[in-house]
Amino acid sequence: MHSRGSSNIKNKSEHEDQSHGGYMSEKVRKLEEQFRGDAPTNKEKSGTSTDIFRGVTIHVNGYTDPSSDELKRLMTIHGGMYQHYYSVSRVTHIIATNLPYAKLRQLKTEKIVKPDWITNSIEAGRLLPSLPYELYTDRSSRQNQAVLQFSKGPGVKPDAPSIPAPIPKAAPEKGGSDDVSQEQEDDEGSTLSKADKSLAAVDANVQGRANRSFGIATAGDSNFLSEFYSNSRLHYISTWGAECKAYVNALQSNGDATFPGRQRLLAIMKEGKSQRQAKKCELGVVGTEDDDRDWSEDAMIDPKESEHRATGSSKTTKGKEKMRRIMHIDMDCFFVSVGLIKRPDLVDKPVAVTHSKGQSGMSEHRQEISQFEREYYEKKYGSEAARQNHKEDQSNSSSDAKVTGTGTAGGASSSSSSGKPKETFHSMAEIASCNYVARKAGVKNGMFMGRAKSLCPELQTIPYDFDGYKRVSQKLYDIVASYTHDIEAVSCDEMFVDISGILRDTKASAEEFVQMLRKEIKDQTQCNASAGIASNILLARMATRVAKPNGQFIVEPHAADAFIRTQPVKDLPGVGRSTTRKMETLDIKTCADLQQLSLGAVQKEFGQKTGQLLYGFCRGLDDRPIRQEQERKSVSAEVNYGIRFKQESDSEKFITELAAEVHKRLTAIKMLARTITIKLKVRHPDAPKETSKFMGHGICEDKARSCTLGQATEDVQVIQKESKNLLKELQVPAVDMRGVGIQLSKLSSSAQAGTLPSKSITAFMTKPKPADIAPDPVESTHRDTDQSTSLSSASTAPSGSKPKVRTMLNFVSKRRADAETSADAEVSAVDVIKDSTSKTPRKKRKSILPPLPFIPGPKDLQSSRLSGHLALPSPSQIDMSVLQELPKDLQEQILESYRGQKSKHSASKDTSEPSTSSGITDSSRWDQGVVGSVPPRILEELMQDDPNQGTSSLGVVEALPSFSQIDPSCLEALPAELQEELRSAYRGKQTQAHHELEPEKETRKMETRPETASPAKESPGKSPFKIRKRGRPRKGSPSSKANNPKRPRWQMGIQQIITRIQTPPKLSSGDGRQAEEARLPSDSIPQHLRNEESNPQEERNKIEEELDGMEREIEEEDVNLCGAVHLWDVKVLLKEWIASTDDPVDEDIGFIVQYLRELILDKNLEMVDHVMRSLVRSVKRGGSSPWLEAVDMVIARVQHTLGQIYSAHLKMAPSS
Amino acid sequence: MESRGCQDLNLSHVSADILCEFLEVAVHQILYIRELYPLGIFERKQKYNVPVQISRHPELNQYITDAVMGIKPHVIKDEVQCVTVVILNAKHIPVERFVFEIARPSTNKIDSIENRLERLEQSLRAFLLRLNTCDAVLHSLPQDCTFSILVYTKGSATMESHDKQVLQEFPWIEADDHICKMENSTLVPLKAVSSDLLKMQLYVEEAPSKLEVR
Repeated sequence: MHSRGSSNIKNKSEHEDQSHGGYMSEKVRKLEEQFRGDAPTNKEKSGTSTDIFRGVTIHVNGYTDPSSDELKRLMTIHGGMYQHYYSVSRVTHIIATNLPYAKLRQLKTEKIVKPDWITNSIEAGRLLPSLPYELYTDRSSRQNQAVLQFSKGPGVKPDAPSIPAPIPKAAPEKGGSDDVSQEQEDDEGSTLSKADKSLAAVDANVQGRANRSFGIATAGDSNFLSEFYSNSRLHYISTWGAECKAYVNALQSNGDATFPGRQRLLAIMKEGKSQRQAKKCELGVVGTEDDDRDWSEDAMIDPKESEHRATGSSKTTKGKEKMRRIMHIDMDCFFVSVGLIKRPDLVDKPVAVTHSKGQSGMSEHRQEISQFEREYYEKKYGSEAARQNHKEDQSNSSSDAKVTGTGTAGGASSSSSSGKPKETFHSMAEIASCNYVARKAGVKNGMFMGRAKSLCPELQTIPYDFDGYKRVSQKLYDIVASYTHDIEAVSCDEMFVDISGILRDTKASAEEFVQMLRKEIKDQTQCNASAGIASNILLARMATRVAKPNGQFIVEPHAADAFIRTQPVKDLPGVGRSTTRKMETLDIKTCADLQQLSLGAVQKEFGQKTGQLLYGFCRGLDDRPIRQEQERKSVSAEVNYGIRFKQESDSEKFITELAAEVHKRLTAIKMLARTITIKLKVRHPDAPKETSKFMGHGICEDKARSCTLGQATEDVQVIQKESKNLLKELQVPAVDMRGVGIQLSKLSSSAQAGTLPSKSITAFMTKPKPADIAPDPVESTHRDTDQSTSLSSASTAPSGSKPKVRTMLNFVSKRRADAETSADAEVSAVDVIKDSTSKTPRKKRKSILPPLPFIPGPKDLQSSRLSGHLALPSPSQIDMSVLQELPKDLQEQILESYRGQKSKHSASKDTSEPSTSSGITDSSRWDQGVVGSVPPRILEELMQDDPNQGTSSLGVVEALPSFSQIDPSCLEALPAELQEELRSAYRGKQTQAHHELEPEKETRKMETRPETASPAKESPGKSPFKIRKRGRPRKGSPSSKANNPKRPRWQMGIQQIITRIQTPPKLSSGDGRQAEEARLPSDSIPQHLRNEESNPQEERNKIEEELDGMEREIEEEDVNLCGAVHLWDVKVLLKEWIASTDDPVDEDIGFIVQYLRELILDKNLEMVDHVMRSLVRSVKRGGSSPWLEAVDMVIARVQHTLGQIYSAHLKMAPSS
Repeated sequence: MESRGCQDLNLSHVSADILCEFLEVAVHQILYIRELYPLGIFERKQKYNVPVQISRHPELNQYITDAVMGIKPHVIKDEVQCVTVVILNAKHIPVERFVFEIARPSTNKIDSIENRLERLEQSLRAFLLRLNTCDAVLHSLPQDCTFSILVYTKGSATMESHDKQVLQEFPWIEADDHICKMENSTLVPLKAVSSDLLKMQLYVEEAPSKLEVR
């Protein structure tokens, strides 16, 4: 190998070379030179020299009978090459007499030949076929299964000359010399469809290698996909259908409506018919197009009429003239017919088009597997259907069949030409098409060759003739198009034609016209076509079935009903395998049987839509028009062949490529897609790893998963990413994947969406990080911490402690990363940035694609600027660096819109609930590093715009990550004041921590909490927080009344922990931070907040008292009244109490009120209601006036509480 | 322990499923009881062994289903504070609302899942029955009422500001303040349940304006 830069070739062997490094390649090269240098001398010595082994490079492995030295000498004499070091790319044959299994596996791609081959060849004076000499014949069968030829790209070409020519470049000359070159030749011969010659040469070259390198896991190859699609000729055929449609479309839009065929027909009609008709024809000849148009309008009305007729309402010929006539034309066994043009000798013989010769027998191993697969299907579908199903499984994925077509063609023909009948061929190749002679013998399309052979031993096979197909197809379309353009192309050999116009113009009968048309087709293409004519598409198609082979069948409208009744249901379009089976169980065979069922019954059996369809179909009703342009519903790409991944990364890579392929197709039709589905074929758990069909998918389970994006996309990255996610979600081990497909659906025209600005802004708005953790209190506290630090950074920076703060920031931003993964990724830019609302919307995004937010187009932007309602993500979501990059005016716009929302925020904001802190996080979540680099003006503006700033700058301290999360060393590095501040904050946190956290979170925290936390625990009473904690105060506690401090209306979340802001006194002594706060715009601090601050001390005392009492209480305790929980107990208790005294004590009343309030907090209004009623009733019955007063008071207080919480009052019985 | 954790996870999903199923039925039931739609569009079905009235109108059903499906993810995460069915009069002023207040269940009790589910079903049945009879304690509605479904999430701090989102097919929008506000409303508790899987109460708020409009 001369060129070390052969890295383009991703072949395994090449990697090997590279790993050897420069030294090895150098050495190999030298050895080669040496070898060549020796050659002449050796030749001289022996006196005889031949070229027998030209193109053969051997490598001797282990002990051989002529020693390796001897073999080397022989090779020099006879024109071969000898390699000391094994290399897949250079060595064509390995010479060995015995190889251990391990080595065998290592060398699985190689031909391993006994040394006799060389000696015998020399004796014979020619290169003998190496096959009989192969060491392990079992492997040979595999070898002949040629492999998809994936050219490794242009990198191969410059390389090729330097390869010591194991592959003769002029393969044809070498014909018959060895079967490797033979294969190439044949393959090259059949690569006629599109590759140009030079490409073919490269292909041949590469294929030689591919054969040797045995491309297992080809799907892992980087070029697999593009090669797959460009090489798969059958895939190419399948696109013909689309091509034909495009052709028809082009014809139609061309508008040049001269129909030579029609003219001709007209002429014939004139000639042969009476004058009466000729007169009418003149009219017809003139404006054909106009007539057509009129006619098609008529056709619109027609279906109904024909329905009537079809349903048997007696109609006569009156409507006949206006009848829509649809012709379905289909070539008879298209592939065979075309193939037989070249082989007229085979016309009367059973012929099949396939890529295999169909010599019987596969390797035992494969037979076993095949047997297994057959049994599987028998089990699954019952033995009757088994064979067919088996077949279908093998062929149902078109790509599967396609690729095999490509791959095996070479192998098959090689065997025939090298004439080795004993060579074993698996016969899993399908018959693409067979003629009627063969069909008589029971051979069917899609059958496996092996089976077909057994049914019809004299079956002849012919290869594919792709050019021929195309040529004939083109002719067929041209002929039909010469009559009319009302064509719906179905495939390359099949179409629907609306011939009503023709018939009317020419006054020809359908019979005559079809006769003529078919004759014309036969004359020009030498192939037979069959045609069915009826009043609609369905009947026409069914008629063609009857017409075949080489015939025509016309379903007259009055006969339609009778006709359809005799048709087997399984011939109806839309009736597939499973439906047929279901029908069988219902004992429905013909359409007449199906007609017996009511619409409801059919729908019940087969589903709403299918049922409706079948119901119509079995009555011969089909109002589908001839579709001239079909709307695409989905775009997909699926590969079910050659999928053998070795590791997860392979599959990911593959899906990325496949996504790109789908994307290519999507953009080709100029559509956007909203739903992405990925489909996997997964090896059935019981199925063997290998499949009976080489590289096929075998028995598989189908898995699919889809997701719908928020907005239609054509972004390849989005598709790729989403596909990858879906793949991950399916959790299928890569090794078990046998097929991968991506489908895009919910298509919409890309013209509808202005996508231009979205891309850049999308990237800037969101940081697409997939994550699943929902924001929880812990995270919120993290964020709050960020905020605190970000603010402190702003404040402390001037005072000179910048570096230390930086470290703190780093620490925090690290912390933040956890939180962010959840929050950021889930953000959708569609959120209106009400902070209080921004939390929830994120959640649903979970596994859906992160980006794709709604991006306001320029227009939206403008209008929203006016209204101050720009739909932007919360400021926290903005990557500042991107913002910076934006044009000035855009920047301003965004900033302005944020500013605009400020007022809204502060109005709707609760002051200080940590659990709602997604709102408080905004500024905190700016990437600190970026904040630093942002121009001060922008930063300032953003800070100002952050509506929470006022709040948070006061409340920040309490919102901290759990103490355990803090790196002590980091803490120590902080300035003393900051440390102190943090510590005191943690002190407060300790008490609230376990109420705040979810149970499991809590335990986790407990486990990880280090000892460093202890200092915080030591000083409880100094909590700077006012905490209103859920739970019940101690009974009879004097503080119980203080428990319900009057809260303004805005404090709805009474249940949640409410923290009040308290500025640590030491800070107020005027350090930098305080000063900074003072500078803040005062309007950003909500009014009520400042009011609250006025008496922090008082409130704190209350809370501390409360805390003392409540701390150890079990939170989950049921709300009770002196131990009574259930309504009955409570009632009894109340009655006793009322009976016990005439003048209730205030304390007891407080007690009851407290109990009721707790019930309210416990969200048990029902109980409150019951208790109140019970109380009222009892007191009324009991009667004393103090009691009545007391109850009134209870009611008033309860109502008050309710008013606070629910802003509504309990509806009491009017008498109270 | 691990299996336990797994169970818990499933439980939250299961209970969310159950809750949403219930909500769906309950919404239908409310629409029926409050006669928001012609009674003819409802058909009698059975749920939790109680007769319920389910609408047959596909679009209405779709709306309800979508709404409930949209709530579900939040229920799973325990973010929903309450779900309300607000009934608006012809002038789009709320006159009545059914509030399903949902709280985190008290889960510490040890019980088999089957038992818990069983009990849950019982309590949901009780809800439906109570709902069936709630018209007895409510004033009847004016003509031409409509309804809408509101979700109060815990993410929001105040009752006035809500949450909105775009679910895949069914976008939530932030409710207008006027829909959420009901002056001087009276509150009729209907039912409360506190089980291991679910803690929920249902009450109706009636606006006095309801009577005035008539």
